[in-house]
Amino acid sequence: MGRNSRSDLLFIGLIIVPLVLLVGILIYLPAVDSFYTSFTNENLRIRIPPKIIGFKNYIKLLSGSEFWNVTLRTIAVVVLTLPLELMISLGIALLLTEVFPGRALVRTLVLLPWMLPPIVNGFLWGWVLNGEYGALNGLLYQFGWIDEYITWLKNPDTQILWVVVVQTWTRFAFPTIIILAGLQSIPTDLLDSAKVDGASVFQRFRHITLPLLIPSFTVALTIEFIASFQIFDVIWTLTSGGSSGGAINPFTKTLMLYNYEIVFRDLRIGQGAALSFLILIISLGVAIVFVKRLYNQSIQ
Amino acid sequence: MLEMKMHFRKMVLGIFMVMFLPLGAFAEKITFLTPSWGVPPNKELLEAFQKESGITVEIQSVQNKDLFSRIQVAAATEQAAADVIFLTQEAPSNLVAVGMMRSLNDLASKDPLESDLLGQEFWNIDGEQYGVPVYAQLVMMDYNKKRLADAGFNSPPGTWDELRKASYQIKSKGIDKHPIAMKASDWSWYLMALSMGDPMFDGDLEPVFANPGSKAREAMKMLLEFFREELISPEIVAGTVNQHSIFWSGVGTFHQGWQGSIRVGNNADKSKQAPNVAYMVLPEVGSTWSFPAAIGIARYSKNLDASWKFIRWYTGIENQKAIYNAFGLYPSRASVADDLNRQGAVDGYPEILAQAAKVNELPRYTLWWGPFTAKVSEEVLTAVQTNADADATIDKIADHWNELKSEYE
Repeated sequence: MGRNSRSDLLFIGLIIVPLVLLVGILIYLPAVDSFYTSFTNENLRIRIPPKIIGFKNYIKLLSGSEFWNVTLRTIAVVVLTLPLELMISLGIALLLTEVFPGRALVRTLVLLPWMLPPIVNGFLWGWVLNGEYGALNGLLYQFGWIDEYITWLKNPDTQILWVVVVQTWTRFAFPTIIILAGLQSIPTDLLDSAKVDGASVFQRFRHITLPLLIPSFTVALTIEFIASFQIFDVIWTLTSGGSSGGAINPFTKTLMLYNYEIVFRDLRIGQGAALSFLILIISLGVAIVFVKRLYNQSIQ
Repeated sequence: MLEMKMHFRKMVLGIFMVMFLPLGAFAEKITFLTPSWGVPPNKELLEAFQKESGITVEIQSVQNKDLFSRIQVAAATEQAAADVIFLTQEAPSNLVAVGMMRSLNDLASKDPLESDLLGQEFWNIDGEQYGVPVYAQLVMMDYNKKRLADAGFNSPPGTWDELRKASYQIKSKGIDKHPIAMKASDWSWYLMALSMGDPMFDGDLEPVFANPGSKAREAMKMLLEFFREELISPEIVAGTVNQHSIFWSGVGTFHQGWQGSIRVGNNADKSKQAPNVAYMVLPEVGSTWSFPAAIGIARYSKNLDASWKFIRWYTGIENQKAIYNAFGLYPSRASVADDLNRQGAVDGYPEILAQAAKVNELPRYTLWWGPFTAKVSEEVLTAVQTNADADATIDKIADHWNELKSEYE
């Protein structure tokens, strides 16, 4: 082994070992500890040592109506957000593959909502949707499309729809980048030869572009599923605070907010840990399905 | 190339070393965790304190609802989220009762607190002092005199029914679209129920508010009607504004305020209601609840002496005056309040005194008050948004109370 190789090994050891230790200490150790905690009755409001109670936390969660209500609401957010987000991303990515003046500027502008913290987006949309002085009302009124200002966030049903809109706005740039990268990796000679063979724009898109984009779609879908499933900041800033003060708005309470409520408001650490693992199992299950079904099939 | 490689390695190692450098090199630096209204408003006063004491105060201003979670997360690992903590209305249950604050007895025995510092007993549990009062808070109502007069009323309403009728009149005459500025939350219901004369809880902490025909049921019914009839702005239900910001923006004739709120309401720089805001003693029996906000030291803080010096400065005369002038928060030191009153700076002093005589405290010190009061807000908001029945809402609230009580008592 040469001097350089030994030096490289030493350097790698110096860098890799602390990183592995950091990941182990900061991620896996707490995860194992949380898993253990999920089988205890740990509650910070009660100053007594926690006891192991088996699966009681899991049973309590799964047998309660709130868990299922919150899970269904979370699924609704995911089901509404993902298609909307991916359609917008695909449209923008297709547009950005075209050559036109100012393309670089448009690409930068597309990234802007993603670069802003979700909390900022939530507050920003809160002001846009304000019923007394919000920009949306102002705009619609100016165009004569509404006769009087509307309180957009008052109704529980519209609250969840606006959450979907803001989440889409916050996140669409990321799948756009992934799909754009996918589009640029499609060999142009394939498209050219199809064109020579007389394939229309739609046929080229349907039979060449779309199948070759499926791996990119799967990656985007998986990551965006996790982001939507674990939505927190947008709801926290858009509909959760304000009138409800220290309480969490029950009509936009999703799994992560429910988890926050159990752990940080009620201080039921054991039950909160159990819920975390239920969230992990659901996320992992769906992600595995996405990857196995879509990604692997498209690669084959 | 080799030189570049070595340079890169040195840079990476340098970054790692900086990451692992021990923190805490600043012995006389303390952190202060507070909601926005606890930030010392007079920067010059704070700088003078820092210069004189040699203590650097790092202020972390957070939303009230995030304050508890920060402290609780840190305390779970036996760390202090900050040295000094601003103690707000739910702190007795969420921080003190769960053992996240430190007793100040030893520090106060070396450097005793002033005798005119009112509200100390509120933060004294089993002989241990956990907080030093900063301001006295009495939940009150204020109103716009001019709008009420324009609607043909010469004095504020004496009953909640009169308040509702006056509100309809104001709305129908087009004087104010949404005459009542109250939240869809726990406080609005407590305020109306206590004011109507409901004791809410008995000596054994039984929820007498749920008794058939109670005033608290009547209060809930009326509160929900206020929302249904849009006497309260739907924007409050949407959650993008609160009762204070909407009132000061010019919407509302009756406003759930506090002892000192007209200081802000009549400040033309901050409020479109100026100069027409006055206090009203709450209708009917007129009871309310009080709350002396305080500051204390986190259980795991290691900077005790510096923290105590800061607390003594923070609750001192000059800073209390600055807080009153900036936020209208009534000083906890009687001498400061008297001084401000002598200077004519305390508006509506007679109404404050009259309201202060009608206080019925809520059991905020119970372990379960924090989750309970959050549930109350949730139920009120649900009822407002789904047009739910008032009695069913009260029954659910009582169930929450009983469930939590049996779990924690």
